[in-house]
Amino acid sequence: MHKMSSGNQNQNMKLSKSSQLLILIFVTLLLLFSVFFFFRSQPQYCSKVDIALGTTVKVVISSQKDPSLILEAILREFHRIDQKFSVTNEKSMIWRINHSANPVQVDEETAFVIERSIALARATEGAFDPALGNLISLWGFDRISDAQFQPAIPSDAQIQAALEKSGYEHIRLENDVVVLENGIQLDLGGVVKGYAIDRGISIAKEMDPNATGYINAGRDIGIIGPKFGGDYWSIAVQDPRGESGEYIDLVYLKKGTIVTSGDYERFFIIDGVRYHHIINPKTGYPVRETISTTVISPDAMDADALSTAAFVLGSEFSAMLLPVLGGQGLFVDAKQVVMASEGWSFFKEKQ
Amino acid sequence: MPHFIMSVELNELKLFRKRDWIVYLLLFVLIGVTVYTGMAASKGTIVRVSVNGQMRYRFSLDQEGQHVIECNGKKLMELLIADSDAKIIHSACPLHLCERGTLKQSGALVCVPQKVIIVLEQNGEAVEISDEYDLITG
Amino acid sequence: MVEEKKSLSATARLTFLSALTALAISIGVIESLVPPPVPVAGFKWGFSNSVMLMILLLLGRKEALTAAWVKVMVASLITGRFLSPSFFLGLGGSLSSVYLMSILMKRKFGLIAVSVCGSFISNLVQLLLAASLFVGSVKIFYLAGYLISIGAFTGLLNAIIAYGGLKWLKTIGMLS
Repeated sequence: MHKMSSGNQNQNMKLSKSSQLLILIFVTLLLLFSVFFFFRSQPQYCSKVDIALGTTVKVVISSQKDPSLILEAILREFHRIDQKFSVTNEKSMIWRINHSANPVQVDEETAFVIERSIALARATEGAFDPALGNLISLWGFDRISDAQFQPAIPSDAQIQAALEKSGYEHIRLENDVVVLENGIQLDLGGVVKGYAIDRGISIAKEMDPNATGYINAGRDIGIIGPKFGGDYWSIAVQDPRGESGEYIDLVYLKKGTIVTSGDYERFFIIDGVRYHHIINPKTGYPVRETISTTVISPDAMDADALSTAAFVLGSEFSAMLLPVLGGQGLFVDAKQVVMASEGWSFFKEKQ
Repeated sequence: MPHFIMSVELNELKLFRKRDWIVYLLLFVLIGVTVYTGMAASKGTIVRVSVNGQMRYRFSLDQEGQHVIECNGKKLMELLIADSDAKIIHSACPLHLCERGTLKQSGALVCVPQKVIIVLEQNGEAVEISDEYDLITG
Repeated sequence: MVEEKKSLSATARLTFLSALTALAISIGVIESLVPPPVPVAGFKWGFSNSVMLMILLLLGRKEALTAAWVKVMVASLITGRFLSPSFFLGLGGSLSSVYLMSILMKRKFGLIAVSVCGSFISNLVQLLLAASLFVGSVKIFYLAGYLISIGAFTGLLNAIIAYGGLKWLKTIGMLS
């Protein structure tokens, strides 16, 4: 049996009624807003996968303008850059430079890429070096994606000879004219993927400044725009010794790029020993002290070069050097110890 | 008005009442409906194989067994479908890097030398790799 | 007709409201430390609804709604998620849950059914809000089935907790 207490009840009832109404209105508005926004929200993500630059390139885009046009444009750019900066393709600019006895006149874009590579080589004191063509070719890593590739270990003498014909300091670039001295050969494999990612992002932004999504070129990632227009993309860092998909860290990015170099990406095993594609420019042999480096930077080209440089320089030094050069990194050494530069933790939170 | 006065209400407070059956029935129906649509949705998962940029094969994850992938009469590799997952075996490429991992683990299986790309598709859209993260670098 | 004044005094009501709200806030904060049942930003489990239910039964709808507001505000301030997705989802979920539960209580449904409905509507509203404001994709609705089951489960637990909680308060003589 329900017992009423006092006259207070009536007053409370009145308040109850109006706050009830308020709540009802609030909830209805909320639901109405939901439906309204739902139909106006960002269009779905479209994606396309292709093979270029010796790896899988996946582009994911959401745009009010036709997304497939943007996807096509980006992938076309990747193929164009692949052709132009390839070391093995005879029609490429790099081939011309490498096989010309005379100075070569190059276009603005080539000059830019070479200049930038030299600058990055200087900044990392040669840990990243765009002029290791002889060494890379000797080990075969320029042909590793070919169907006919045969892995083999070069001799010490061969490696010494190749080392003598290496080094970015022998590149002469003036007024868009390139001369290679000392018999060096260019191989821009360490920056070309990053450069292509940067170009891809520019193209997307040109076609639609509000486009969002990302470019994933062989697990090197460049962000075109934040997820669904405002949210972070969550990016895991592959465990260098784990199954594909297992990760050692997780970061959140709304913009910028993240590039990883690992000894498990391009390699061959002979007699139980792993030979991978990141060569120490001083010894001529694959780096043994590091197994994986990951770099976050506003430009993919920088991130690409820096992750290679960090691999060569080792975890401790790289942790200090990278922030100076505008990057943050995560490094795993041969003992599987993980180290990060100071600013890396900034990316582990959704700010 | 809902002004419960404790001493009384507490005695009347019951976990179950007769009219509850409406709620439980609705719940049962709802769960049934969503589970059914969920199952129907996952049945549509397809494995898409493209060679050299051209879509060549489509398999359902139910088609268990070894499927030969070839191009112009040449055998490129075999695709093994089992336990609702797929992986590459017996690939003709030199380094066999593509034979690592399964389709669900890696999100996509790719053989670069032979230009083969294998992805999962569900109702026409690419399937998410993982629910723990959007992307993986490395 | 003799009117037995068996209701709690105003002071007792205020004390209960404060204490229970604080409890709800604590549960809410702990909930946000545990990973959400669904891979969506800011989604809430809903165990603080057990305390909301207790407030509803003990003190009434107005108090419960107030408590819901306060709980979400304070919890989001404490966890630093004020005005973040979890704030809006939490607000939508808690308010709709309390409101529905109050209606069902008035209509004399059993406690478990009431609580299950409360969890259900909380999850539903969170789903709708997330879909429209934050996720922007239909894919989230595929989680609906999973969510309903979770809702039923937490609803059941909440009812038992609330029931037990009130009985316990009665036994130790706090309600006279």
